[in-house]
Amino acid sequence: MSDNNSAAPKRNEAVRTFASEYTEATTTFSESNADKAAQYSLLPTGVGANRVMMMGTLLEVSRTKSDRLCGTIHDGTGSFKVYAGQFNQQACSKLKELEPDGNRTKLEAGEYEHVMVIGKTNSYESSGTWYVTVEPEVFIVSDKETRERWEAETAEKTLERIESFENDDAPRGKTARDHYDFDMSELRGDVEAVVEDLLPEVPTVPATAPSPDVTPPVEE
Amino acid sequence: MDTATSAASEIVQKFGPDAGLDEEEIATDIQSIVREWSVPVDEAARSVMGDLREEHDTSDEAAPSVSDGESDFNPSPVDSINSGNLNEYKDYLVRIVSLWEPRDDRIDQVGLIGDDSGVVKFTTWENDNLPTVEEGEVYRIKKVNAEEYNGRFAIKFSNSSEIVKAEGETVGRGGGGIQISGVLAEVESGSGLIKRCPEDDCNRVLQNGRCAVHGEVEGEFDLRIKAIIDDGHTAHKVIFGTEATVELTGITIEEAKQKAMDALDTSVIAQEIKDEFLGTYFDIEGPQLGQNILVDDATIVTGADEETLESVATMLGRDTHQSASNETEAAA
Repeated sequence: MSDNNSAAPKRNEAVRTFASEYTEATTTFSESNADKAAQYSLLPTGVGANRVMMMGTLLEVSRTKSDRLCGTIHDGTGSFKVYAGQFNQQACSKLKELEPDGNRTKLEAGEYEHVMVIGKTNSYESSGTWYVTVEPEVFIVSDKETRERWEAETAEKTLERIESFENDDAPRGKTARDHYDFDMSELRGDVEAVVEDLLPEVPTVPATAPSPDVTPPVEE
Repeated sequence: MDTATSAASEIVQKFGPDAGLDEEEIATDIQSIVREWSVPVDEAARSVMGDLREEHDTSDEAAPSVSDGESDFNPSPVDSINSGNLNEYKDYLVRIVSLWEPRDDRIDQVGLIGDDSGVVKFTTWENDNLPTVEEGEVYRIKKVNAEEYNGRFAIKFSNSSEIVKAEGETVGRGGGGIQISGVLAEVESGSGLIKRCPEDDCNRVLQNGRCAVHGEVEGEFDLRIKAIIDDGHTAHKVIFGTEATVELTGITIEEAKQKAMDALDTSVIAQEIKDEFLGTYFDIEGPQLGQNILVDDATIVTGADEETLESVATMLGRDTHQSASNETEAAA
């Protein structure tokens, strides 16, 4: 079919990442020198991300000096921050709803929510330290089942990226190696820890139940 | 990738056993094109099929029961409609994907027809005296040309055109059906309660009460959703038509109009859709029309996907199928 929309740039996909990989993606690049060219954060696995989709437990909601809302989210591998300002209306109003009352910024256990963020990658330096945060386009209060779906998906995508990186097959693997001193086996361990409870059980005793008087030997 | 394998299987079927095609090889070809060029599976499949077509030249082999007098039927794929001379006569073997209510007495039938390569609009007029087609059925459409209107291509019938019911021939998955699975990442403007231009054959969605072609018109209400379904690899453009939107939201056009009137704001419907469905995972099925996938079927899915977990387990080096062997071991 004729592509009558060829002038409009394709929307970037939301890369599935865990916090322990994402927060290390301090290096950025652009695909062209044009003013409004899309900015990509270079993930340690050698892939560029302009947009990410992340999930986790919302732990804290605070405000910056310029009155932007800041949400701290922990996904089991680490924590990351979202900053919502005047250009992130939906996320801003959602975070305001979830903000704890009084002078607290930290949420109590009863206030915890599974949240989903889809947004643009943002990397900046402050007082000599680099921070990688997310600028939310969409900030959703979600649920455990959706989070499990995301965890499985993100685990798969992350492991695939690791494999490509280790096979020298990542789109920007060399650049990532040059810029980062990143431990892939640690990331693999993080992924495993997150999906541990979701993976199908591998029984080490026979599935058929023995008679009640006999305790079957357990194979270790 | 599941979709690469099923696309490969369709290609092998289409060329028939005599072509001696290897499904696994084709699936691998498709996957490497997807990886290298970052195109969707169906684009890769189409390009692979194009290569194969040149090698095998099987445009008539695909129809097993072509009778002798029918050698004048040479179907082209629907997505070739915009190539070559618009006045050139072409044949198509297509399924009637959907039929719409004609908005003009002079129109006989209007809707979408499609094959493996895509979907395209057609209009037959009362004066054409062409046979009536039924939704879901497959037809040979002969000697038609194409017309273009604001960048969109459609089938144009002439005095020489013919529509004949296909005999034993079949077409794709009901008009180039695609299956995707992902998160609803955005509800685009032009969603919710919208108005359409009532003029002739137009149907365009009005912007602030104006039609891009017919100017200020009294629009007719409709419901639809223009969404992005993001699967982590591609941000798919997806359109829920009236039926799909009503089914998803559970509200009718009349109920939507009432809500909008109560709130004195037509955008309340779009807002409700956003509030309810952003961040939800969907399995979507439907034909591709240009840049968009038209929703035939949308299912909300949740919980970790079994196949994904299998793949994760494999990559983590875990054996997930020990239970059977353990039973026999323990018996020893």
